[in-house]
Amino acid sequence: MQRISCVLASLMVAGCTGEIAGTEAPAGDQTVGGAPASHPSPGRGTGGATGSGTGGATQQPPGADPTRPVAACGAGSKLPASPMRRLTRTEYNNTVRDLLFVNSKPATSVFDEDEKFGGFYANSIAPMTRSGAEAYMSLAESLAANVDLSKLVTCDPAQGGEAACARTFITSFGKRAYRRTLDEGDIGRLMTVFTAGRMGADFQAGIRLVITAALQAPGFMYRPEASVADKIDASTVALSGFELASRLSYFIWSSMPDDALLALAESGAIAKTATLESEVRRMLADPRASDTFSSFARQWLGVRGIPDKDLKLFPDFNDALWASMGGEVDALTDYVFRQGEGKLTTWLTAPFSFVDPALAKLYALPTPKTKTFDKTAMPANQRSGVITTAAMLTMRAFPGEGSPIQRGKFVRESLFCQTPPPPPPGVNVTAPARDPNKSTKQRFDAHRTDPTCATCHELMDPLGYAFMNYDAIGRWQTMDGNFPVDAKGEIKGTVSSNGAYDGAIDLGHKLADSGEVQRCVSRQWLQFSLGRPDEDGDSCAVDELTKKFVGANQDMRELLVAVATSSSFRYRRISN
Amino acid sequence: MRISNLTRRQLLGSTAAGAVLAPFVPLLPARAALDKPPLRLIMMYSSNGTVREAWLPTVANGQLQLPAILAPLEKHKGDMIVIDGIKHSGGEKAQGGHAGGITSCLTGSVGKFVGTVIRAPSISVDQHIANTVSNNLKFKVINPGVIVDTFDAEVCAFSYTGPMQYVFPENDPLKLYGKVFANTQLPSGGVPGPTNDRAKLARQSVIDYVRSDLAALKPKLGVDDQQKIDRHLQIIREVEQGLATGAGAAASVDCKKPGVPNVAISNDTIPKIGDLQTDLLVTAMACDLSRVGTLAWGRAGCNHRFTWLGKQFDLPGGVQGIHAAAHDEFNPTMRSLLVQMHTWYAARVAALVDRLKATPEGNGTMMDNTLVVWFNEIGVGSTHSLSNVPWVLLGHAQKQLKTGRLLSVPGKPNNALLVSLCNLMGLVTVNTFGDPQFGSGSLPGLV
Repeated sequence: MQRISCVLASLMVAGCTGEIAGTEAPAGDQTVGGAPASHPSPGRGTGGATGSGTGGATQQPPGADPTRPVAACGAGSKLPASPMRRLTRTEYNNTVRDLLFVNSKPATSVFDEDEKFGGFYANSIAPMTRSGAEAYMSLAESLAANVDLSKLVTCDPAQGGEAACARTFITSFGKRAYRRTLDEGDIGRLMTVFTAGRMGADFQAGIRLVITAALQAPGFMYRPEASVADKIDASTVALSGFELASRLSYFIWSSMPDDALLALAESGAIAKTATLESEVRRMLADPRASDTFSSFARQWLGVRGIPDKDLKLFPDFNDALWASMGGEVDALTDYVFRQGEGKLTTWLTAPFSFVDPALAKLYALPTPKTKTFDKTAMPANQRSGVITTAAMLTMRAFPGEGSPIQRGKFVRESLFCQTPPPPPPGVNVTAPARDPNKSTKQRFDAHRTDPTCATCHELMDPLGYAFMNYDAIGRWQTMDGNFPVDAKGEIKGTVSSNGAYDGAIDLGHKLADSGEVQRCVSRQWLQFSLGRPDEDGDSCAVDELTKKFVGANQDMRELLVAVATSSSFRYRRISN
Repeated sequence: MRISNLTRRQLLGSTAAGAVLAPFVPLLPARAALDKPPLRLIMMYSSNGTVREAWLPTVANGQLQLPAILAPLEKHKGDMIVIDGIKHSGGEKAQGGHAGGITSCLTGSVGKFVGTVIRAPSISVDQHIANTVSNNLKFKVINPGVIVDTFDAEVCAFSYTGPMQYVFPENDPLKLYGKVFANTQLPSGGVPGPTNDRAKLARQSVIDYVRSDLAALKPKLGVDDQQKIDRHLQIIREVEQGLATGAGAAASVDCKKPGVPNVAISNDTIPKIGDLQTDLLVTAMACDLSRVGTLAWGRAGCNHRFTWLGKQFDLPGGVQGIHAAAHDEFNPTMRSLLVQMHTWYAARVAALVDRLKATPEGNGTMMDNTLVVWFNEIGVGSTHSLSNVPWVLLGHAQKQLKTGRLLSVPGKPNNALLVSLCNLMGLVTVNTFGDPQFGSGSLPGLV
């Protein structure tokens, strides 16, 4: 499939102005010119702000936790709106796993693709579709028909009566399904459903119909945030305990809250900073956190779908190999951030990775004895952590060769949080054809000599040359056609990270040491957790996150703790 | 490369698992006596503009003379109206290019940014027409796609149910089959489920519940989220209506449940995918499950590689698909290949018309009652011009159109053509479509 050309197409949206977000805003612009005023321009750079906002007067209600952060970043600054999210396919799968004890990942093949807002999936803009609603309906019916009720219904209808048992079930199941306590209205409506299902059948049929209904209810499929009980200031409100518990569990587990979290939500204890911190640490130690690290890494690397490859040049490339490549990203990320010491540096520079037999062959390693992903030292001086995984390199490549443009664009966007504008309309964006008399750099030189292209491509190509040693499916190469590989390049257009490098490993270390990269990674995690781009109103939160992240020696787990305790995560803009 | 996620076994299994589902399967209602078959609309999209010199017909002795690209439509040229000169004005205003073109081609409006993606601020013509002509049918629009992909947040869909509300085509024939046919009772559709009042009541109670729960949530939300809830409520109504009907009243005699499609989805199987999708689309319309269909051969600026046309389309370097070829149009070799690619799409249109003509209906065939529209997002691939976008109509739309001609409308905004499509499909009061800054009224000389 044509993932690759999409980059070309997506580059053709707007004119290339040659400017990226101004040099004072290294954390950069995520949008291109011309966003209509009615839509907040996402990510208008939080880079400029430095620690403002902490001096603002607090307007917290008496008795509130004094450790809670103040609302926004200085006077006049507001948190951006947070559109209501709908469960992603991963979240749906995990939620029915934890709610119904069904582990079949049913959403993956049934629901449409998830929609991003900013860099990550949020399903927050496009509304429900007809086919989507029918898919929810079919799946709800199928799940309810097959679920093991003995794990869900704890009372005996023969003992206290069917209605009482149904009510008990609805109260406890409903709380888990909707991630909040049910009010009498909720319970009454679900009792009506129970009665309809019970009629002409049995108690179990009534319960199954309640489950069918709950799985199609907005409280299940959406993540509504509506509480206005705890105002922080005129435009900001603290999430309710249950809303915060949901944000937290979908952030760290990509799933519903467990009973412990729901209990903290109900008591209100979750609003305390210390409680929140200890919950994040508890949740990170749970295997469920693997899905979040995997989701983050895959979305951040752009690993999705199946890239199109020229199978005559790469006969070994197939679905299974692509799946292995994704598995490597998951395993390496999980190892570094959940099992290991958690350092960003390790993630960006590790000389080891996790390979199965298919990847061992790809990386020219001895065939491993097991079929699982095992920690393996990579061939000397060839790899630099996640940025040189076959998945990233295969995704950011043409069908027949690696693409320095796409790889450079990845570094620029995902690590420096800067977005080069697309080329102007009408410009020829076809990659230059292969030429035995020219090296890749020479072929792409037009980009940097033609002034129409140069302003933007200066920001991408010289970063992408770091990856010249990797072909279209991520294999190591020492020859670039008839020329020896030249993987020297230069970081340009940054505030404090500019300079020459030689090869991906050198680049990886320079990236890991860059304050701009550390700030960008902080922003990316905040965006991931919120399902929206960060904006000016988040800038003090980003400052704080970055400070804590750097202070913790770039420990990603501490960054996640900082995200969960930030004002942007605990508060929301009051909807109008 | 990819085998459909949903296997035949899963598909059968999922219906079997729902003993619960079977009773809900609606029965084919008694065929109502209609005075004439309904008029249908099928819009086929292909991408990257055209090569105008090899596309634009001449007229000699009142007969269209078709150049290379349109040559496969020779046997249908008496049914054609080739429209030359349409401009996608809204797209031009929204930054132009593929993204501007695709958001404006069927909406007639100027795209707006959501995050980094351009989306249309108004409904597209297929959906607008469907709201009337497919009302109360099982589906508003049947929308198969052939590897319509996205990259990151980029959405290259032309169909919108409302502002910013794009509809993504269904790329997988097996999934399309699942959505359209798996739970629909058709004449040759296997074991009919008994109507079961208890089961119907149960499903209705769930729908009532979801409706009341949405209504209870709505007032607590902000304005934007309330709009999402409103849309969800509307969808619930549609689902409810859809449950009440199986095949439509106007199902043709050729309405037979198709076989379960089976294809590995990859660039090389595009012809097979397209054939299956075309067949599912026409069958769904023959069964009157919907009266509007869209068929998308890729996304805006798609770069499908036409490897099935021969070795010369599989060029070294691996970057050469239709998008790349279109950019390199002024290279004679590339241009020749590009012409052959667009010619191949014309042959797909011809195959669609063949299929419609082979389906008897009333005193004639489905083609008598179907308006086929072949459209594109841009005019020329190399320059991304949104002028002279190639639009071709086929079919007389129940004797409303005089066909077999070239209609020249240089510089006319597509909005006028969209108005005409509404009028032809029975929405006779429509006088503007999309952004009114691009004028009102139908396309002069079409009817």
